[in-house]
Amino acid sequence: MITKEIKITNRLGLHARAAARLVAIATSYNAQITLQKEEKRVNCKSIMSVLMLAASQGSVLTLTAEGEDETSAIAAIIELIENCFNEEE
Amino acid sequence: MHLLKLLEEKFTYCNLYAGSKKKFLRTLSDIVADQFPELTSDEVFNGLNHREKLGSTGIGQGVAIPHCRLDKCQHLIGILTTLSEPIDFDAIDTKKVDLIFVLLAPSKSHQDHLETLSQVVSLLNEPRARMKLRRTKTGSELYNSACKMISQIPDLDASLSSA
Repeated sequence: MITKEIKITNRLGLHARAAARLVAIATSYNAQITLQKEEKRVNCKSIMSVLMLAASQGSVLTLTAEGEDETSAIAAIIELIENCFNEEE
Repeated sequence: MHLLKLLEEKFTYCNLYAGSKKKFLRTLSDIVADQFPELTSDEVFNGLNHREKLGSTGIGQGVAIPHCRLDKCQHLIGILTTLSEPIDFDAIDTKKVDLIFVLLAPSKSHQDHLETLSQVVSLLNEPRARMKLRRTKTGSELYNSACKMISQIPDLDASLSSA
């Protein structure tokens, strides 16, 4: 199991379109992936769950993956978040 | 803004006939323009339609959350509707949509928008809530049912005190 902390830096935060991209990447891996903000921990493969976090700019999230491809899953998700979900700001 | 404060009975529509995704967005835009003289139907339609082109807001389980920010929008506007016939919405799970919450936000309200969207999803993520909302027969029944369920969502108040 791998756990990483990651900060949301894009201006709009984890809004619906960003969440959709995040979920699309997460679901392409077999590992179980969760995302936690404060006390709330959710399945990173469900867009509804991810949206319930309301993670705005500056939020620090804890990302956890468990499974054979956990390393590459975490790397891909961190890359997406660090690249501000590939959107133009 | 707390969802209970946002939702109003006059913005709750039960068994609306939409026909198609585009027709739904148009009908909705007309409704909004009717209620808010600062917004035109075209502005609302273009905003929502543009957002849908970037990726469908059909988030699965027959639920869609069309939303956009509009320059002339002065405060958050939320509209809850059920449809008389489910429509194709290019949803993430390809299921047809019949439970829709539309959120319009002023251009500058990023955090508020996100927080409200999160509350909407907290409500519609519950299978029991979806079933109850779909079974309502009038706008006022839909409104009352939604309010009751929103007030029962755990953590909503806690997460809001900071917003």
